Amino acid sequence: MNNNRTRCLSHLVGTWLVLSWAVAGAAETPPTPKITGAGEHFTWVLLDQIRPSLERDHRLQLSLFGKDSMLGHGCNVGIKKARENRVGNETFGFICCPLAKEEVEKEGLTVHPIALEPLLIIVNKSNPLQDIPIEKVRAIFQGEIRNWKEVGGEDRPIVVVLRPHCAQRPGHWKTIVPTVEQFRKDRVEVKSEAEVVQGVSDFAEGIGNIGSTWVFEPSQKIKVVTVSGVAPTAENLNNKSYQFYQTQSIVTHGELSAPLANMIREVQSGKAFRGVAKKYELLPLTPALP
Amino acid sequence: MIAPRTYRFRLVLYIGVLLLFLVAALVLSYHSSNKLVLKEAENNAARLAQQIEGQLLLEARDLAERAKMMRDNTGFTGYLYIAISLGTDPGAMTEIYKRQFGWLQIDRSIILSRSGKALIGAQHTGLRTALIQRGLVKSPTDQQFYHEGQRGLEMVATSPINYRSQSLGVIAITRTIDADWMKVVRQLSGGQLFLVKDGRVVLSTISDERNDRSFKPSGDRIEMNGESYLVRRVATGDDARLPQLWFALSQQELTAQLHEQRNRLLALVIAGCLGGLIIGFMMLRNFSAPLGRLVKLTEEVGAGRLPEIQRVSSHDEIGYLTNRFSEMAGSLREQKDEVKRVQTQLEHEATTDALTGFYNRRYLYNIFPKLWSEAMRNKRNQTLIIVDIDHFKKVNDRYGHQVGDKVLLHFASVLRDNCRVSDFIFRLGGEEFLVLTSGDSEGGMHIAEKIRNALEHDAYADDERTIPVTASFGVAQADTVNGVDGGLSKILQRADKALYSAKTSGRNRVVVWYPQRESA
Repeated sequence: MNNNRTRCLSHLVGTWLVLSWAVAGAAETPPTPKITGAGEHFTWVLLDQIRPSLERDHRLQLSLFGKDSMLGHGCNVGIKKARENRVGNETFGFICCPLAKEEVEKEGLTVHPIALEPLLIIVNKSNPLQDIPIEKVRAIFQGEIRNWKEVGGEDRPIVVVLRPHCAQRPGHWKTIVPTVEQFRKDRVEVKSEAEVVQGVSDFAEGIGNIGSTWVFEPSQKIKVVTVSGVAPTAENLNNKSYQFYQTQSIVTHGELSAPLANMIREVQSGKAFRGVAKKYELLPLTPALP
Repeated sequence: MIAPRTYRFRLVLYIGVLLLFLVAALVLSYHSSNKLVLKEAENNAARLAQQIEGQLLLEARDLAERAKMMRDNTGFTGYLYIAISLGTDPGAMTEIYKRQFGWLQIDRSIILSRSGKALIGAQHTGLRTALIQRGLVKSPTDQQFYHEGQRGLEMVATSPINYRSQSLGVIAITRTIDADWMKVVRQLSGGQLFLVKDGRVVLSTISDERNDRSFKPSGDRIEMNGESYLVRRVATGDDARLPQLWFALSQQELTAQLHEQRNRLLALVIAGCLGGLIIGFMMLRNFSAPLGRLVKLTEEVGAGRLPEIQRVSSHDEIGYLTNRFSEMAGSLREQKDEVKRVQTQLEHEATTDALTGFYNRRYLYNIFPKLWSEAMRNKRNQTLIIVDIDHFKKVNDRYGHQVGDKVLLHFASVLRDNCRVSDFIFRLGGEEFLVLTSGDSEGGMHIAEKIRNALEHDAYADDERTIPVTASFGVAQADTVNGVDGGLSKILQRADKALYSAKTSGRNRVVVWYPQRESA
């Protein structure tokens, strides 16, 4: 009789211990938050490369869309995605240019600057030029210079390849020519960054610009020229000797959840970001975390 | 020899008719197929030529769609605009063309600016000239026409190229009707194709060494290299300066196909005949022969014989019929034996007395004429002995009929024991018996005396009683030798008289009837 009572008591104690351990364990492991981001190609390259460390260090699942952004479907998509941010459906956008003050106020957005990205001036590989003075670069894009021989090259007409994205926003290609109207009219106008690269590769006379995070394919006949002898590096951006760049930012809407805020802070100043920034000559806009 | 109106005869007849029909069909087809095939070939040539024209139209439409597809590609026209307006290296055009349209099945393509400069396909000078001559460079439009290229006749589709409402030039793409194309059509249609210019073959699906020969059809036919062809022209435009496409069906090929078909038919007919013969033989063997055996059996049964028929193991209708027939014959045999047995029994019962087993009066009347005839042939006498048991009524009255029957049996036993084997004993009725013996009345008297004596000394005895049995005997002889009429009634009458005499003279005695006594 006493043995049976002792056995029942021991079973009850065991069950209580197992249940309390399970409840405590569940309380210690919060569910993994899912965060979705979308936007233009260049910031997507940056975010995609640091995504593994973000997911690991901040215990979140990060979905990113923007690898093949087209004209009108880059920064605009980023802003749209940021506006979808809700509790339980955390979203953010990424853009390649600083937004106009009116747009920020109208949409109720918050811009989190990440880095300055140099805009590379690219020409066809067959072009013998290695450097073009900055005023001549601008003159070429504006159509004032129409033949390569005017800048020391072969006697060939110049073909400008342009993707005039985010025309209403400051920055980016506007650091070269302030408005679309000022670009030469007889140009090859394309809709994606990939087509910019392809166009310059196709035309032996081609010239265009592209962000430094762009990954060139070996088959493409492209080379990057210096501008007034200045290479497109983070250091030269910092000392303002290289003047063509665009601004990579994250854009959000409304209250941010702790995981999303932490993630943005990590993107702006984390160690993984610093590595990628160095690789692509990006100039971080936020001091590094201690 | 097969008898007419038999199944076997009909079977042979049917097979013969079938074979005859097959052979006749073969002969007829041999005679009529040449004309039929040639007539059908004429219709076929026209139909196939129309099909080829339809195929060309489809391909031309397809080509025009491809030209429009190029015209509508904004990336491509953007490049073209820059290339034309800036006069850049045509390499960029080549690159984008390969990337965007390299997968299209087009033989040649050329893009001309409004000034006539070739941005793509500069090497196609003939085509460029044709486009200029047609005014398509100055006034580009969507057009389709045929052109003579180096590889043969080619269909051309053109389309104007515009960029932002500005006319840039014209694009032209071609599909060549070359040897490969003709080979494919040859395989599909079964006929030959000739590309003819100025009455000479410039390209054909016949082997190359025959090309560059004269081609001048007479009506719908042409003789070339000793071969006759049915020909139809395939419409490829009205420009007489261009090569013309002709479709031709070789009469030799048709005849060869006909012969091949005929040989197949002949093989089929021979196989059919052999099959018919084999089937006929099998039917005769498996059908007709067993039927013949059955017919013979029915004849034997009809003749009253019921032969033993072996059962067969086959399960077909004939086997079933044979076995049923065997069972029927066996059953008939059994019934016949039974009838015979019953008949014998009935005959026996009709001629014998049930108690004593002696013959009865009816049998006496049946047998006596035969015995009498036999006796007359052998010149022998016949003697009748009528026996009547004395006072038998008293035995019945005193001891009953059962004892009476036993006394009768006892008497019969004595009678049988004392008669000869050749004697016939009859029970005429009640206690009256008759013994028919060959010989004269003297012999009969001795037999009667012997019986009487035996009876006298052998009384009936059972456990309860002894009954003396005696009998009276009347003997009468019937013989021709003595001129006595042998009629049974008369002899019986005489024997009866003798018996009556024996009865009236004290019984237990034998009295013989003599003719002298009758006449006295």
